[in-house]
Amino acid sequence: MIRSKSFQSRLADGIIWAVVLLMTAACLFPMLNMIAISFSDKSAAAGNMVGLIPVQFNLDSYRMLIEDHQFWRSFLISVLRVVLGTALNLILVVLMAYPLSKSSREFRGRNFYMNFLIFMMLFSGGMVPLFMVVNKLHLIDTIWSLVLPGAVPVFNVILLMNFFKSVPASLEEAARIDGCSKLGILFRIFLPISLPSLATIALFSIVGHWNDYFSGLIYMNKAANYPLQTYIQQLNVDITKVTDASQLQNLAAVSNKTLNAAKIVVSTIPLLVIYPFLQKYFVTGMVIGSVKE
Amino acid sequence: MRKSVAYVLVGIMGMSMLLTGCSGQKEAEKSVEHEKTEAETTPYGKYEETVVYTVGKNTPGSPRFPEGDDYENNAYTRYMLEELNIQNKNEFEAATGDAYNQKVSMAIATGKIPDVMMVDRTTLKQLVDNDMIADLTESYEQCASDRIKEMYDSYGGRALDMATFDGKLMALPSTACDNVPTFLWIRQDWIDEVGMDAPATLDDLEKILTAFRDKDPGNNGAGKTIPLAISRSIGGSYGALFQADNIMAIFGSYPRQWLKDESGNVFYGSTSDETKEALGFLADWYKKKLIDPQIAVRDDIESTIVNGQCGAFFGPWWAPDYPLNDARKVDEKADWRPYIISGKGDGAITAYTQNPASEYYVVRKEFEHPEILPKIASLLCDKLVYEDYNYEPIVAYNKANVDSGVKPVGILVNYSTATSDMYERIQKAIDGKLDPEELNIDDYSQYLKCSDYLKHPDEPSPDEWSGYMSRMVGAKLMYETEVTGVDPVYFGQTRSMKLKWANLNKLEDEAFIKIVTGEEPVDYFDTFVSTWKSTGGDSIVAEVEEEIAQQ
Amino acid sequence: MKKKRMAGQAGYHAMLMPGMIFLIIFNVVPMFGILMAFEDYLPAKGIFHSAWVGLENFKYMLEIPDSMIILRNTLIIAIGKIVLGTIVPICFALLLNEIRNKLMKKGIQTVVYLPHFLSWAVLAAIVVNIFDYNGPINSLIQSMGHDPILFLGSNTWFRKILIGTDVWKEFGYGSIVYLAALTGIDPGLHEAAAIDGANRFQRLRHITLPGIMPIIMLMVAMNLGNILNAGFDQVFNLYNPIVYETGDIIDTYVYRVGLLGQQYSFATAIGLLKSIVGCTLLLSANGFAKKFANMQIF
Repeated sequence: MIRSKSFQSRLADGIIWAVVLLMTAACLFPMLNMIAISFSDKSAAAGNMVGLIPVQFNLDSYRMLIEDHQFWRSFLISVLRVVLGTALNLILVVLMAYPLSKSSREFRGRNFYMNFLIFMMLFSGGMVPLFMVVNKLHLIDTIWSLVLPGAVPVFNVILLMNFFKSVPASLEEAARIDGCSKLGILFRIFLPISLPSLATIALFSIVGHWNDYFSGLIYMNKAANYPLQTYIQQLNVDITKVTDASQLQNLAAVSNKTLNAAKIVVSTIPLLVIYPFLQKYFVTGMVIGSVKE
Repeated sequence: MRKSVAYVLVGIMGMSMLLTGCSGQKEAEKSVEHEKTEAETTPYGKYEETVVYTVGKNTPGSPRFPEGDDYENNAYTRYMLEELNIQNKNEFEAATGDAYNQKVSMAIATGKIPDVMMVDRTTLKQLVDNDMIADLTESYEQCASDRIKEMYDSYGGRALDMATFDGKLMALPSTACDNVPTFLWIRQDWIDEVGMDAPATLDDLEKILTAFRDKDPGNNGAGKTIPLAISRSIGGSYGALFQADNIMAIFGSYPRQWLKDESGNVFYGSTSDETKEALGFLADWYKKKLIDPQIAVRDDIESTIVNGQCGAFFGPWWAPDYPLNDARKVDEKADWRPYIISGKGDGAITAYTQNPASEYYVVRKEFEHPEILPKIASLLCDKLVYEDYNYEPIVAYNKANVDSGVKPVGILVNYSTATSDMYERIQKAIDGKLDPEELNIDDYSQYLKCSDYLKHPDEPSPDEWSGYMSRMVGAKLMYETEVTGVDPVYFGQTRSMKLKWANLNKLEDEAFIKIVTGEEPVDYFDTFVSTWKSTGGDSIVAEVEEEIAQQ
Repeated sequence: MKKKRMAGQAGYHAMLMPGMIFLIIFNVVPMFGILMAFEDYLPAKGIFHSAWVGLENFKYMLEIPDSMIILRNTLIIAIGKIVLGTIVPICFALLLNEIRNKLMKKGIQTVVYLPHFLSWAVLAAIVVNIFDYNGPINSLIQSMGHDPILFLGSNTWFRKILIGTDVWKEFGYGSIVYLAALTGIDPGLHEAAAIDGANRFQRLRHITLPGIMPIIMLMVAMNLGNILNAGFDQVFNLYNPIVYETGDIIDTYVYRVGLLGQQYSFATAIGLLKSIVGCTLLLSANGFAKKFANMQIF
């Protein structure tokens, strides 16, 4: 790599660093604040006194969190959902993206399917009819209600299809001459060189499944079956709506900022754990290394 | 190719059956009128075979179940199984509020509702229109206990009327006992700190709040003290926390209530001139920073009270239980006291009365045992309270602070004067005029707190303080205050409200908060009223008048 | 020859089959629900037996004053998000691409992707905390001698907060696509250009930008189809009555007034209209991309 050492270039470097670091700090601060709150004293947190460093450091909220069975149950449900959902998403996306990446001359049904997919992406019958279908299939309150309705992420199919399109035709031609079947070509030629794209798509799926609170809210009839994000979203249910005295008489301290912060922090840990693993795929070049035309 | 498209279409049509209710297979109508058993015609008759009923359960914030118990198996369900041989199976469980409403909405949309569930008035109407729920007239006659009937009757028929359509009783309402007047709850220790007297009029209150603002008796730091906390809906929620209703009533304003003027015309309280005046008054206080500057976005007023930022709010007699109990846990010097603020300082106030039916319990139309609902109401609201109050598992639940919202059916029926009655009973027990052993379980546990409080009134525990302050101070003040009730004339929902009410409510919420926060001048109220009228308000007023005329 | 091609076709169809089955069950079948938009849907009667009211629900939509407000809010918020949500990630990707310190780069990436992973259910708590009247931002404003601002309760600020926090959440993750595209540019081109004496800016203009232009066009075009999706989760978790006027969008309105209010038909009608407009926009965007960038999305 050639490095010019002119003043201009150094100034440019300086500006680049400053801007990038500023943007990074903007992302970091609110997160660190949340972590600091989770380790702080309850009243300090309620009084907005916590910055980047915990005030009166303690582990109380984490101790309480460990005993929260429902939190961990929801946590496991979310993990299971991510595993099942992502696996299903990836399989279907790959299988659909490949035929669609062919031109309509090679695959004559291509445009029909493509238009169908676009139509699916743009139109929906809405929440209520979809609920009726899921209900009729007896998926309510099962993990499958979180996994099956979104089994085909159309957007990801299109992303991967576009990538497949950019794979040089010569590669496929060579394999075909070697007697590879369609599936063989897909798995031996396309998948290995599209690992970075697959990683991106897997990330989309994982994040999507992990973060979705809404389908849990709709398809889970029992709070015990809520995935983690639904559980967390429900923490915010506004207590002032309850006006019945006898219900209120037993309410404990509701605003539990530190415990909620701890829950939020713990809920992001799984994503942080797998992130570096996926990141590996972004950095390596996507097309470099394959046959040049 | 064309052929395959056709196959696909046929397949889709076939699968669209997934959407239809199994309309083809209607349950064979039971032509054989079987002889009704004793269980089916009496309040406490026990079924021979266990009756399993499905429930749409609205769940409390934190149930605090003992290990192993849940919403389908707990002290209440076991009690009901023992007594009546009935067992709930929950179709869905969701937190009270939007989450629960959403489940109900979904269930109705699919046309399949649980055997028993709680709904609001709008939904009740929808269910009646759709012919989805059972007529309870006969079951109520036969299976509601005499005391339950007496309780409903203590509202002078108003409670059951709300659930009656075309002469048929379609639901059992939870009754809402009198919860007004609400009081000003204020930090007595702060009042002492700034050296002032207890407030009786709005002027007094303004002086005290100004002192709170300027002298910062809670040491919150300059500008951090919230002299008076008010909900962002401003007012109109009966007997709820943080409403400005006490202030507005002094101006003769009763927001969000349907009322009749002197000449008998129906009007909506939020659009009256008095309301404009009251909002103008509140806007002035907001401008003077006497009201929470964050009123518009404040979700959690409780936390400002608990952490000692807030100096006063309006709330009902039970405010010491929630949220002040938490405040005492954080700061045991937080000496919250109730006061009546009246126009002339003589303690005489007016307040609107409430809808006597707060929520409605319905039974699915095809359910074989519609009488189960009056039986459950009788068991939980009569027998359990007046006879079986020593039933050990439920006593243990109360001691362990398990939320009573874990009952499979949360119906609450009580006399309209329940709170004052309770105060009288506990007072008698404390005075030795009544054997404490004769108190029911709720009263007894409160009696213990109150008598413990009286043993060492200078250093009560938070729970003792809450018990005493709510039952002996709050409820007493309520019992003694002279209230002129203003009865709203309508609580239901008209045809146009179905589509337009949400928007009008929105308009109203916005107008109120904007005027109070000074984002719009007070005269914006006139714009609000004319928009309100032209976007549906006028036609709804006409409909309300029409419906009242029909009653 | 012909036979062989037909066999190939069957293979393609077979590969699409599993996905198609899912789409038919969970996407096509529920579309019969669209019928509700033209009915006065009564749950007891079901979708196929409720009374037909034609365009009544759509007419009602035009009658209420809310429609214009909600459409306006949706467009302003969505366009703001699309414009800034495209420019900022591209700039960030380009800037980050210039940083050679591998360790720092990786660290920065890890940090800026972080907000994307959090759902709005979680982020709402964080945003409310940061923009609180007594929160960090207002402390900063006060220390500079200004009055604190009630950000989330202000009709002048609410949409800016929505757009700003959305960009904040997504710019890092949005840059992934562009960074991936940047790594796809043949390093040889840069080397050659550098040897030819092209400076950084020239290389950016003539190599880097054209290199990632297809993906930029694709992303913009995809986003245009989303112009009526202003972000339900975000708005839903942040709005309050005082900012309905500027913050209420189509999706939150449908949920609040339609679903919770049990106005199934009305909600479906709004949803349908929204889909039709979104579809038209995306198809035009595809045509646009095809004509001017010589590529198409589908």
